Amino acid sequence: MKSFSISARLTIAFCLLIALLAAIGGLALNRTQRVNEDLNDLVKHHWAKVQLSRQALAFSAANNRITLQVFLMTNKDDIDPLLAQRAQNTENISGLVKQIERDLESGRERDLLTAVKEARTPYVESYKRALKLQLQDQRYDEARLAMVQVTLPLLIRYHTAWNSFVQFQGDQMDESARLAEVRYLATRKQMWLLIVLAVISATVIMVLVTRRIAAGVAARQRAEEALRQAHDELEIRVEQRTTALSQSNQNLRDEIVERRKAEAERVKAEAERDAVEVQLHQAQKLEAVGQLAAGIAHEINTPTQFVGDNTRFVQQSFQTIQETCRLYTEMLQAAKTNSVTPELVTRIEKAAVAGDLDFLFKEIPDAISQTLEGVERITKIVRAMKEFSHPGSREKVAADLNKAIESTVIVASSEWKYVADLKLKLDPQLPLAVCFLGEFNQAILNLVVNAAHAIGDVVKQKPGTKGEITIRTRRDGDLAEVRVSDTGTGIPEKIRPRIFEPFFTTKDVGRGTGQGLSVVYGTIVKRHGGTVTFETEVGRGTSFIIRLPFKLPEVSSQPRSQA
Amino acid sequence: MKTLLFVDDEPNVLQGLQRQLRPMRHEWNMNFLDGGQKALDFMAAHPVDIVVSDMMMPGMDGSQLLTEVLKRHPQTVRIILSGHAEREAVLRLVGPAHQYLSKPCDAEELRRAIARALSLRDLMGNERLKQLATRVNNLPTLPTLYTQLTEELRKESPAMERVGEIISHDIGMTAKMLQLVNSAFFGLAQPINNPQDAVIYLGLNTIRSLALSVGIFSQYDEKLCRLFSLDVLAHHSWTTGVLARGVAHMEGQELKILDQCFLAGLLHDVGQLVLAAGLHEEYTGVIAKTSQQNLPVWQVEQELFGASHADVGAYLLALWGLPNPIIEAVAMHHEPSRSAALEFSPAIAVHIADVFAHEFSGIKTEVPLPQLDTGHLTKIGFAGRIEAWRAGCQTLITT
Repeated sequence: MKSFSISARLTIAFCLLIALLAAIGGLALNRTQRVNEDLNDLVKHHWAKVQLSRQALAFSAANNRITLQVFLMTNKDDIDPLLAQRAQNTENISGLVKQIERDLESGRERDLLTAVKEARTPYVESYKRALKLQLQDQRYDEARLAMVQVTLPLLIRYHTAWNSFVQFQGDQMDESARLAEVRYLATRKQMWLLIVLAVISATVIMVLVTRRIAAGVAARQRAEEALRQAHDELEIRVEQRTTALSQSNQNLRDEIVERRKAEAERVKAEAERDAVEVQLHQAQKLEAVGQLAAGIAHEINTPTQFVGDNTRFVQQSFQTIQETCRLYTEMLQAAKTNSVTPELVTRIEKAAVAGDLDFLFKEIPDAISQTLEGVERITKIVRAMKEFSHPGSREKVAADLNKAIESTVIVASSEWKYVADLKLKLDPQLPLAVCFLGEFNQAILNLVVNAAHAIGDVVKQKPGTKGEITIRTRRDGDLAEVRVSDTGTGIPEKIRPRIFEPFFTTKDVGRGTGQGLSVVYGTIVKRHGGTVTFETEVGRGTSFIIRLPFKLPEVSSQPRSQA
Repeated sequence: MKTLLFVDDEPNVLQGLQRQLRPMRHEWNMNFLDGGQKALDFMAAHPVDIVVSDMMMPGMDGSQLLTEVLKRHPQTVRIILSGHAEREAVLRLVGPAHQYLSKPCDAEELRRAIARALSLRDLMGNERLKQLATRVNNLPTLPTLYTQLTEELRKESPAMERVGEIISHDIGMTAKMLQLVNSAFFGLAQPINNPQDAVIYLGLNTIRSLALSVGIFSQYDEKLCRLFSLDVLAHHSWTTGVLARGVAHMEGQELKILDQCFLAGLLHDVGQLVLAAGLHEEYTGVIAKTSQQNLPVWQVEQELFGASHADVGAYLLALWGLPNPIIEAVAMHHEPSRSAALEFSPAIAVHIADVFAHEFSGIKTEVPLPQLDTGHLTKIGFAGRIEAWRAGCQTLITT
């Protein structure tokens, strides 16, 4: 039903269009016809008449020339052909006039032609009279006189009449042409209007039809789509329902597996966390060793330098002294035999000067004492190293915390000595504490290094100054208290809650890994059942306070298998 | 008398040195101070030829002190004597220190290092050039090679060989690398003569710090010295290195000598780089004059400065503690007859390679090319080898 309607509409629309175009075409043909007629009229009436008039004028002009020639001649034989020509021309003129007469339209035209004819008659008569005088009477002079005086003016009149006629016809033609042009332009305008009208109406018709068609097609498509969707939805719903069922089935099965797995993972994660903690501690220890190694090397290399220099100096000095002693022995021998010569005395004196003996006697005692001091320093640092990384420190031992702090400070000396002075205020009455000594040492080291870094940041701002690190110990009931104070930057308020988090750091890359305080916390709190607190003021410094029981609580006294 | 200044925060070290160096007291005026600021105050009042400083000191450390000295007294030779073992600290010294000696340092070794630097200073006649070369703490690098190097080092796993290859094309980077690796800090028994070995020994981390952060490699600015092209010099230097090694190879020399020949060849014109980068305008004048007077560059330099680029280059490399055969070859590459040696040496190889590299370069210059010292080659019995060398070098160039 709908498709029929569309095709019908289309047919009607095209019929309408064709009719419109046919109408426009017909109108156009009609208009063209009219223009054509105008042109025909122009050509037939006026142009033909103008042409004929001009021809007649041309023949007439030719006759005039012949006439003038004839009057200049006397020989009849010369004159006759000319006259024959003239007669022919005259005949032609008459023919032309007749043609013109056939087509005369207005009264004015007729009057003008009549005027031509009337002008011709006196002219021809006077001419004939003159010719007669010329040819028959042979009165040449008279003939010429008649010609000039009578015929010529008449001839001019005759010509003027013709000219008037031709002029009239020309004017008529111009007028006709103007009218034709006006009509043509009007026609052209009308044609354009018609074309525009046709295009607009065709467009309107086509748009209307197309919209109608499109609307029809869209409506059909919507209907089909709705149908398909309904179908699809039905299928999807069935499928979803099926999937949901099998999914819940699978979920049930998965849940069973998951629960079993989660239990296993929980156990595993706990083990892993323990392992990571141990590794963390180990890594921090390695980092500390690496960091300290260069500093310790420096602390050993420096005394080694002057121990070497001094020992070599003493060695060389001994040779000089030995040399000089040999001369003195020689002198002693000479004195015994009473044979001391002035030469010998001079030799000894020269040798003493050359050997720089005064300098040697002044310097050798210093060289030896400084050598001993250097050796002492090397011994001290090596001993401190040994104590710091106590071989038995993985076991819990009863330890002298004061001594442990002393050796840790020495081991770390290259970390602090260029930025700070370090004061130890240790309580000599402090009892031995049962602890994991290695881990305690590590915690103290971390605090000292942190203190040195905090002071370093201050010193960097004020070159040439030094800060101060103070370590105090005291007994607080069942607890041993260690307080590490610095005159560094202090801890900004906003980071205070985070400082014990593992890997939290504000230091530059390469200067700290953010494990130092987290290890301190782990060691003191978790391993020893103690506490770690701090007091800090930005711009003034920080104190870390460690408290740990002299006797380890039983809970954490079991050394860990991996530790 | 030469004036020396020793700076250390440890009085015992100063006294030990004082005792050990006492025999030199008639030749050297030695001063011992225990702090950086005191040293600078002393230097403000007294000209000092050599300063030997500790690294770790409270207040002003050795690196800061030497940087100040470089700024205020560029003509002073700067030596570090430190017991510090951290690589990071050494990298901070690559710029300001000419040489690094490690504590404990044998007094004899210290004395030799000082004596060598002093004798070099006597050899360098022109004060201004001496100051110029002593002031140099890095040599300009070809921008293209520098870019290649940093690109390679930024890769996830840079190729050692590629890094070595890039560095061995550049005069400045090679010289700096060998200064560092041959310093006492690394305590090598045998000096390293090969940029590739230096890269392997220093490790990519150190080279990365050198190239990217420390700013030891500076890029060359072509606009500074007209008429002088680092590109051309780098290409000629590399060619000379390759040819010198080729010549040594033809003479059946051992690997160590081959390495020395390449290195000396690569570095033989390092003095030109110092002069062009340091004297810009004036050096443009030198190059212009060579074509006007039709004289070799080194003779014009000799005439104008009293020393040639060979002298400046050798002085700088000696200050930097590069191995002796390299320095000798650089110093004598125009006049091998100045060497007392009568056998084949890197100096001979570099002389020949320099001449052939110019001869085969195909570049037409208005500057007269260096000529073979046939007299000397005849004297030491190598006149008969010249044609074989030429042919060998020609083959090397074309391949």
